[in-house]
Amino acid sequence: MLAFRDVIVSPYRPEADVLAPRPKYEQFLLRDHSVSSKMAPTINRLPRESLYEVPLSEDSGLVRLPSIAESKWKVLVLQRWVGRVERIEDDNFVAVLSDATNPTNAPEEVELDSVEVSPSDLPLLVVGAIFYWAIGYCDTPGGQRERVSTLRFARLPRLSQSRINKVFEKADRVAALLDGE
Amino acid sequence: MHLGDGDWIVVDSCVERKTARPIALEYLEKIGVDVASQVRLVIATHWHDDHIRGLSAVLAAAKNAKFVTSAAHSLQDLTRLAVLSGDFAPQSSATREYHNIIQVLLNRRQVGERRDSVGPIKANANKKLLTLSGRNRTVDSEVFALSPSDGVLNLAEAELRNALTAMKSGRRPVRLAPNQICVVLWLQVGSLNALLGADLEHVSGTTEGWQAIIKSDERPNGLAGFFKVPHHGSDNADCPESWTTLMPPGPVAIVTPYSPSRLPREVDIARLSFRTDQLFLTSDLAKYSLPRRVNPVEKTLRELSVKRRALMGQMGHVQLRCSAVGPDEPRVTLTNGATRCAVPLRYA
Repeated sequence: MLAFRDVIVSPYRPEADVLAPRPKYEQFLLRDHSVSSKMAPTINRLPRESLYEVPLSEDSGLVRLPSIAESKWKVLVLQRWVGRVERIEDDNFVAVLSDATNPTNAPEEVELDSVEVSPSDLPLLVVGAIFYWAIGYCDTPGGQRERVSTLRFARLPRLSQSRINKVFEKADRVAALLDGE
Repeated sequence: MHLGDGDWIVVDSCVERKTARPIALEYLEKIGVDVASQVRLVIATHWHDDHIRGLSAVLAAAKNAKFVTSAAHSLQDLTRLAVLSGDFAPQSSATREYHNIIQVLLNRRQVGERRDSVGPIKANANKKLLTLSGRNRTVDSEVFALSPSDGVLNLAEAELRNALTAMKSGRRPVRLAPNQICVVLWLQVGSLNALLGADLEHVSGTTEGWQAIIKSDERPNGLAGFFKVPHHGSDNADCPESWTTLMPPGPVAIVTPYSPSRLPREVDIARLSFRTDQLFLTSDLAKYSLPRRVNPVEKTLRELSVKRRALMGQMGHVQLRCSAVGPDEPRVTLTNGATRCAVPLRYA
């Protein structure tokens, strides 16, 4: 008798942008529900090979659970943008987004609440700042799926004056070449 | 713009979203123009993103063209900005394009071309940029710059300095130059004159903006029957005197909408329609639409209460054609969502 319906539905779309490798459904653990709950084997008691290579089509009253041995955070990014802060208002800011998932999409202007910005990124929220915004799913090691929106501001190293001077020397040589007859 | 006898100039650039190619190149190729030999000038009126995207690709393709930019820009500052941007900081379209333009110009100089044959040519008020005349031509043509005036040449310096400061701290410069330093163009093709207003604004005083052009004794004579309305039809670029001094009554006027600034506004359209009954828009802001994304993304955007607005729509085209040697009504062809604002004219 089945305690849970053994269904695996892939939420992954072929066009989606997947940062992490796809989950290996073959590596899911099978737990035999014909065994009484008192006698149900724990993961530690199972021989290691039983964690792997179980045919997906098998329907023998077993419930699949994620393999702890193989579990890790997995991220599926559905949409990515690169944003540029245009102006900052009281509790929100206006930015222009370029679609990094589908660059043929038109740029958009969005108004975002400042509270969406991580406290550690707030000092970076200035006009002209670049940020990256992603929406997607995050699968936890425990097998839970969460829909997430992550907004991170670009952190670029400040250039030293000596490095800037070198760049300017290079630029000035180029300018002189262009300006000369 | 066609200067007659197969010679063309390209003023500013934007790109077709789906192909990522400059609109000007796609259009010229479509009508059979050999861009490499027939384009004589490639002009950057000013370094704002909405005027500059794809211009380096246009210049690279136009192997016979000189490059023209505003004299208000210090070549040294602009090059510093482009190189700094290219090496370290997030690039804007403007800095990226200038970086690429520098490469094109350097390549041409390194094979022995002289500056006066490739550019950059610095445009300022009342400077003649191109003359096409001679026995082998059916019409004589000239291209003049009407701005920037002497009074604004220092404005770009401060703006570029701000941009450099932003770059140094890893930010993207929002603006590279004020509108007042842009290059307004006057074209004479046979008996026709055209005035391309770029983004020049109308300010008090006679040393800058449209008043500087109107008060100038050195600008070319004549009235322009064709007018590219400045700064997307905004109120702050509309100089009433320019319509009476530089144009005949009822010129053909074209407005290029700019969604980020929500220009032109309805009140702008109404005002401009009062000035001429031949007012055209290259696209309709009201028809811009947001792309539909997968359900979880749309749902998240709704939950976050994100206010969104499309900044670009279908790239429309207003094509004007008329004879340069005799009286002729302009033939107007509107494609890809370009519209007319007043009573219908004669469409081709």
